[in-house]
Amino acid sequence: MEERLSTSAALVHVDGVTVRFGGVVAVNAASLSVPPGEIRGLIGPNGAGKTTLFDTITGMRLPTSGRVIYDGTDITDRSAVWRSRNGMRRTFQRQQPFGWLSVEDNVLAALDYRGGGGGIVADVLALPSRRRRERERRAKAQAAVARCGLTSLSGEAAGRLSIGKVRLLELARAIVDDPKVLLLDEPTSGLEEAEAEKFGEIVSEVRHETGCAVLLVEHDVPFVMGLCDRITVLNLGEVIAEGTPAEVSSNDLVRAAYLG
Amino acid sequence: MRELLQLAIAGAATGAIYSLIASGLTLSYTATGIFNLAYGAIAFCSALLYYELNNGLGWSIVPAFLFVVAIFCPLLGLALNFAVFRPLAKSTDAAKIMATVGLLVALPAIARYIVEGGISTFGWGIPDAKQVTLPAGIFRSPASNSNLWLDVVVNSNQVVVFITGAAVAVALWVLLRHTSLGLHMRAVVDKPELAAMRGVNDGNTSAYAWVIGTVLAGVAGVVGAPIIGTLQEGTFNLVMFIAAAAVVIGGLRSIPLAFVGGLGLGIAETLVRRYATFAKDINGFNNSVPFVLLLAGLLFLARDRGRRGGSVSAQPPPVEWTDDLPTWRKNLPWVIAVVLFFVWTFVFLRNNEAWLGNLATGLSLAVVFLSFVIVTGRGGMVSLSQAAFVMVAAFTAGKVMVEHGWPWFPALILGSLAAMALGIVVSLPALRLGGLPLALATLALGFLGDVLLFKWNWLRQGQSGWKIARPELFGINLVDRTSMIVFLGVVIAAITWLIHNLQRSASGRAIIAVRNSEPAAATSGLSIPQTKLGIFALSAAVAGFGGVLVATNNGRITDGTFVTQTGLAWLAAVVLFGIRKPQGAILAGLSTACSTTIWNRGFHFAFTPSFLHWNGLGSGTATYVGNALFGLGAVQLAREPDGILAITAMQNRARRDKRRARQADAAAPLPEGVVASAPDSPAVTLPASTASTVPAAARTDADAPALAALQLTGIHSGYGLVEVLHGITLPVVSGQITAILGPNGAGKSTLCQTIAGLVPASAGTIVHRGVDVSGQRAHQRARMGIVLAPEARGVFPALTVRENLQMWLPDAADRDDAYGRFPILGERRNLPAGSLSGGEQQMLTLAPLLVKPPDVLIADEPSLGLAPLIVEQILQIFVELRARGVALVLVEEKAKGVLEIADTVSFLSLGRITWSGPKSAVDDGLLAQVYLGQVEA
Ligand SMILES: Nc1ncnc2c1ncn2[C@@H]1O[C@H](COP(=O)(O)OP(=O)(O)OP(=O)(O)O)[C@@H](O)[C@H]1O
Ligand SMILES: [Mg+2]
Repeated sequence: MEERLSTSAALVHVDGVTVRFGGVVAVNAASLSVPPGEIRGLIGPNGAGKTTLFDTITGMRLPTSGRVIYDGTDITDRSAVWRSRNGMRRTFQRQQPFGWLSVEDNVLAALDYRGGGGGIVADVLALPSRRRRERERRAKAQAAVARCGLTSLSGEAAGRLSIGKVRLLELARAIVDDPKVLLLDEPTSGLEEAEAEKFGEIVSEVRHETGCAVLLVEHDVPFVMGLCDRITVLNLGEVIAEGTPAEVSSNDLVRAAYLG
Repeated sequence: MRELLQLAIAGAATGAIYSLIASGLTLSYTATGIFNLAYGAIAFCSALLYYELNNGLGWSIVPAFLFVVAIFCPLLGLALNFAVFRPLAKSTDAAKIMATVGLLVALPAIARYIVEGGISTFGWGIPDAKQVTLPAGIFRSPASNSNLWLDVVVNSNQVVVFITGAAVAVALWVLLRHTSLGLHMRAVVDKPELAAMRGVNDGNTSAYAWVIGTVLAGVAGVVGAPIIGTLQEGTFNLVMFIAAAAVVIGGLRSIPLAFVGGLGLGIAETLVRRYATFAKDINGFNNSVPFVLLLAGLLFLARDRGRRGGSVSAQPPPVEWTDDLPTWRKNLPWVIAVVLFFVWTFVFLRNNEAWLGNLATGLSLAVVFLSFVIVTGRGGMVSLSQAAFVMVAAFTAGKVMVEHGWPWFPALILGSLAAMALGIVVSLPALRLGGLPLALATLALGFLGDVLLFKWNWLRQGQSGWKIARPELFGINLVDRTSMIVFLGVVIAAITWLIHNLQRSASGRAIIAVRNSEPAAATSGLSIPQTKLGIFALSAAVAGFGGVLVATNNGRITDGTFVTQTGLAWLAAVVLFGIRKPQGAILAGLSTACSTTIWNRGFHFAFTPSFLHWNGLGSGTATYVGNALFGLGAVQLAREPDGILAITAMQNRARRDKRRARQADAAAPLPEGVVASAPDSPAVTLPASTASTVPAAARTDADAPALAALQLTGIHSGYGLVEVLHGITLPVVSGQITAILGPNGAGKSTLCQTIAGLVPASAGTIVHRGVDVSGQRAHQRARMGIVLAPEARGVFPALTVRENLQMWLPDAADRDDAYGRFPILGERRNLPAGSLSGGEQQMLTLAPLLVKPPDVLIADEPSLGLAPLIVEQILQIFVELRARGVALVLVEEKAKGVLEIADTVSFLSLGRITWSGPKSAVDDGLLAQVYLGQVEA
C-alpha cells in the first residue's frame, strides 16, 4: 500500500525531521526538498546535524519525529537495505570500505543483491545460471571502477588503499547501481586539491548522465560553491538558510554561523 | 510475604558468589578489553592449590590463603600477561575469545596433571581432590549457621563470601572510576597508541590489570569453593558462566550493577526453585534460569548506543603467505598429504581396528569442525554452541531411526535439518549482537540446550540414548572401517568444495562485507540478517551432519556425549590448526581423535622398528596432556587465523622471498637514490634568523639546543618489509611553525608516527634538545614533550569528553579553559567521545594540546573535517602557541590554510623531502610545480 503523498517534483523530501539523543537535539524540525537532477550542498558548523540527517534519510537512524518522503512515498519506516535497493546510495564521512575485499569486489558487492533467487544455497552449489549473472554484474562493476579511475588498483585489497583512493572507491560503490539519489558525506576531506577536483567532475558527469539527485556535505567551501546548484545551511540542527551558492554566501546568518 | 523475604535473603547469600566473580570479570574486561572466559579456570586452580596446601600438606588457613592470593595468583597473572594477554591486546574480539577459551581448557588440565602426575609418578602424599564434596573455606569448617532475624539461616561461608564480594566491588569501583590508574587502564583498552601518546605506559597498566584480575579470581575460587561445593573445573566454569549474566546486567562495564545483578541472580534462582511449581516436571528447568537471564540481558544490552557512522576503521586483509605461488603449487602439499593418508590407511593400518576407529572418528569430527570454518573462520562470529547442533542432529536421527524405522541416510538429512533449524534460532541474537556479546549469547543457548533441551526424555531417550548402527549405503557396507573412512573422505571433499564455492560467490562477498562494515553493507543493498542467518544455518547444518556421522561411528548417542564445554575444547583444537581453512579443521579432527590414544597408550605400529615404539602416559593423565597442549596451542595461535599452518607457510614464504631477492640482486643491482635529491641531503634552508649556517650535525650538540627543539637526521622507516620514508632530515625549531605538505601516500602520517615513536625508525636519529630519543618508546617521548595529535579521531571513543581531556589535563581549571575555547565540548562533556560528530572529535583531539602545549607539537591534518570558522580559530591558537615558544609541526594535504601561518615549509613526496625553505620562497608557481610533479608521479 503505497499512497502518493506528494505531487511536488521533489525526489527526496525531508519533512520536519527531529532526531534526539537523550538531551542532545541533533536535528531539529528540519525540512528540505531535493528535485531529481539537482546537486544540493548541505553545509553547517561541526555538530550541526548533517551526518545525522544523512543517517535518517538513508534509514540508518529512525527520526524522533518527522517523515522522510522518497519519490512520493513515505519511507520513514523502511530499512536501510530497502532504501539502498531502491536507488538511494551514500558514502561515509568515516570511511567504510570492505577492507578484505578487492576494489572490484567492493563495487560488485554493491550490486550483488541483484543476484537472483536461490541465495546461499545456489551459491554453495555454484549453479551455472548464477555464475552467468555474476559475470554480467562484474562487467558493470568494472565500468564503475574505471569511471572512478581505479582500474589499475582493481585487484588490490581495499584495506590497503590510501584515504584518497578509498574516497573514490566509496564513490564507485555508490554509483554502480545507477542510483536515483546519491548522498556524499565529506567526500573530499583528506584529498588534495587535484583529487578533489577530479571527484567533483565525476559527480557532475554522473548527474548529467543519469539525472540523479545528489546531496553533498562538505566543509571545503569553494568546492561546494563550485559544484552545487543549491545549498541548504544547517545550524544547531535547524535549517537556517537555503538558496543558490551566491545567495547563501552573502547571507549574514550563514556568515556568522559558518563561513566567518 | 515472610517466606518470600526469607527466600530472598537466602538467595542473596548464594548470589554473593556470583557477585564476587562478576565484579572481578567486569574489572578485567574494562581494564584489559578481554573477557576472561578462563576466570573460572583460574579460580579452580587457586581453589585446588589452596585445598592441597591446607588439606593435603596441612598448612593452616592464613599461610595457605596468603600463598595462593599473594604469591601464586600475582605470579600467574604476570605470566599470563606477558605470555598471553599483552600480545593479544590489539587483536580482534574473536581472537581474544578464542585465546581465553584455550586457557579455560589448558589451565585446569595442567593443574590436574601436576597433582595427579605428582601422586602417581613421585608418590606425593596428597589427595587427588577429585571426589571432594565440601572443600574448606577460609573460615570455620564445617560452616556454622547463624540465625538472622525472621528465622532466616545463613551459614558462615555465605557471610564470608558476601562480605568479600561487597568489599571487592567497592574497591574495584573506586579503582576504575576514581583513580588515574583506572582511567589509564580504560584508555589503554580503548586506544593503546593514543594512550601512549598521552604518556601512559600500556605495558604497566596491562600488568596491573592482570595481576588484580587473577588475584580476584583466586580469591573467588578459594572463598567460594565451599559454596560451589566441589573441586571440579566444570562446576567452576559453570558458576563463572552464570556470573557472566551478572556482568551483562552491569552492561559489561558497571561494577555496582554487576554486583547487584549477581545478588539478583541468586534470588531469582531460589525463588524459581520454590515457586515455579508448574515447571516441576520439566527436567532442568531450574538450572536454566541463569542462562535465560544471560540471554535476555544480552538482547536488552544490544540496544544501539553508538553512532551508526560505524566505528571500524578499514582493516587490511589477513596476509596470505602463499599468494606468490601458482594454484597447483599451493595445493600440491595437500594432495600429497591426502595420498599418503590413504596409502597409510590401506596398506599399513588395514587390520588395525583400533586405529582405523580413531581415524574414522577423527574424520567425522573433522566434518563437525568444518562448521567452525564457516561461522568463525569466514563469518568472523564466534559460536560457542556448536556442540548443541551436533547433539540435536544426532538425537533426531537416532529417534527416527529407532522409533520410526527410518533408514540411515534420510535420518542423517533430517538430523542436519533439525540442526539447521536450531542454528536459525541461535542466529537470532546474532542479528543484534556481535563480538563478545554474541559469543556469550551462543554460550547461553548452548547451556540451555545442555540443561533443558537435551534433558527432555522425548528427545534423549533416558540415560541410555539412541543406538545408531553403521549402515549399508549404496551397496557399500560402512560397518567396515576402511569403507567408512573412504566415505568420510568423500563427504569432507564435498563440503570443502561447497566452502570453496561459497567463498567465491555473492554470498561469500556479503559475508566479508558484513564482517568488515555493517553500515556500508546495509547501504549497499546487502541484507545483514539474511547474511548472518545464512551463515549460522549453513554452519549448523554442517555441524549436525558431522554430528550424525560422529554418533554413527560411536554407535550410540546419549545426553552426556557432548556438552557445551566439549564444544569449547573443539574450538581450541580448530584454532590451533587454523580456523580459516578446511585443512585446519581436518587436521584438528584427526588430532583430537588420535591424541588421547597416543598419550594414553603410545604407538606400536607393526611396520616401525621397536625403538620407535612408545608406551604412552597411561590412561590417568592422558586427557590432561592433550587438553593442555591443545589449549596452550590455541592461546598462542589465536591471533593467527591460520594457526600452526601459518607458521610453516610464513617460514616458507620468507625463504622464497630471500631466494628471489638474491636472484634479483644478481640480475640487476638497483641504483641507489632513484630520485634526484640524495636522501640524506635535502635542500634544507632555514630562515636567516635561525642561523642556518650551522651544519646539521652540529645541531645535535648540547651547545645548540635552542636552534632545533627536534632534529631528524636521515630517518628511514616503514611497515614490515615496505619502506615508506627514505631518509628524512628535518630540523624543528622552537617558536616556529614548520609546515609539511604533500600528496596522499607521500608518507606524511608515517613521518608523524615515526617522530612520535609509534613506528620505529629503521635508520637515522631523532634528537630532542640534545638527547637522542631514537630508542625511546612513544610514552617516553610523550613525557619528554614530543606529542602527536594524530590524523582523524585522536580521541578515546569509549571515554567521556571530560575523561578524554583528563588524560592530558588533570587539573579542572585547565579543562574549563578547553571548554571555554570550544563551548560545544563543554555541552557534550558527559557524552562518550565516540558519539561526537566528526568535527567535534577533531576539536577534542586538539583541545587538550592547545591548552597545555607540549614542547614539540605535531599535528597531523589538524583542519580535517572542521568548519571554516573553527579552522580559523585553530590557526589562531597555533600562532599563539608559536609566540609561547612551542615548536610546531603542521602536516597538511591542502596547502591553503597552513601556508598563511607557516615559517618553514617542506614538501614531502614518495618518502623524501623534495623541497624545503622559508615560507617567503613559496609562491603559486612553486606550489603548482611541486604538486603537479607529484600528481603525475
Ligand atoms: N549517538 C549519539 N549520542 C549523542 N549525541 C550524538 C550522537 N550522535 C550524534 N550526536 C550529536 O549530534 C550532533 C550532530 O552530529 P552530526 O554528526 O550529525 O554532526 P555533523 O553536522 O555531521 O558534524 P561534522 O561536520 O562535525 O561532521 C553532534 O553534536 C553530536 O555530538
Ligand atoms: Mg558529519
